[in-house]
Amino acid sequence: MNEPARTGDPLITLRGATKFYRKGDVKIRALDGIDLAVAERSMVAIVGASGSGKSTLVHIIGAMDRPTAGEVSVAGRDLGAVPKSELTRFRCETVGFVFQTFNLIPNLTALENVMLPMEFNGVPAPERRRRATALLDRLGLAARVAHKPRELSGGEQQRVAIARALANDPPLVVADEPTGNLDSKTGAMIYELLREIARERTVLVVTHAEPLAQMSDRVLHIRDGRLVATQLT
Amino acid sequence: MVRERAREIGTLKALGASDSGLALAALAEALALCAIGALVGFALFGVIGGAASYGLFAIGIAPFLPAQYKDTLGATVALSGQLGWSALGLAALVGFAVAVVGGAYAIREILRLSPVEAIRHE
Repeated sequence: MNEPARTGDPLITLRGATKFYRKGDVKIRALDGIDLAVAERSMVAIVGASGSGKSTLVHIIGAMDRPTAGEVSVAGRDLGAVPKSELTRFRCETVGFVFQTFNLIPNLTALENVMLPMEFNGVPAPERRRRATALLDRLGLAARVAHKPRELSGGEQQRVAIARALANDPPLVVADEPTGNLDSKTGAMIYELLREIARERTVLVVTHAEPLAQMSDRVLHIRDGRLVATQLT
Repeated sequence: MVRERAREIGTLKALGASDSGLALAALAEALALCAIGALVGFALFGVIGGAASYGLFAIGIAPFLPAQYKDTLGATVALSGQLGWSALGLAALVGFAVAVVGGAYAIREILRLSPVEAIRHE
């Protein structure tokens, strides 16, 4: 089953998106002809077992990988037509990433970690500092700006990572198992935060946690690289 | 490439760091490490190098010399305890070449690294 395109201008559109991998002589079909449309300012959870293709799907939508076949359009750009050299800039401006393992740069402070994507985007230093400070303040980390990641709890590290994902004010935030390394209470708090962020931009969340997925606007179930069910919550 | 470093570079790529920016950073790091190594080496040589080189080099090659030369060994084959400009220049040149070769390897690895592979958490 595939998700029909909705009316209006979706932020994300996939038509027949397919991805093959080769592992030795074995050809693995990670995504198998996915059709999907995701509206602006919505939160969509992608649920599926390990190896079902959900991470591959968000990597392709997040311009970190390319489909083998099919069309992927994000924020009005056909990603298949964007040269590899420009994909980096596209990611920098259009997509904020949140990872399961936080992936903060260990020798930088929370503030410097949040300033980093803005540096890649050519934002002047005073503006970087101002915006990063405001984001950390908004996420309740005003007292933690000068702390290194190892001095922060898991929940605090993930909030810094969310602030970093918002640094360039992207229309899309992709979160790959953002609660996977957190206890259930902290995980629910992070999910609530992502829901709040989805009021102003699109948030795609890969998760194993069905109760958290139910907090999203839509839940997509993926199996063997295919969308097998979609559910409005 | 060390796994942790690869993950860090993959994260930077995902966040929008360009290949050229990461390559320049790797080259700058290699040059900085070589420059620090050279400064420490020169400083150590200034403090203990003169005395050490006089005896150590002679002792090191002593087993390979005919017996008749061994009495005058220290005075005849010891290295100079002074570093001239030409020696400094040569050392700097070799250090720079090592940094560029080492940096080029790191840059090749950075350019080949896929952010998806680098940040894979399994």
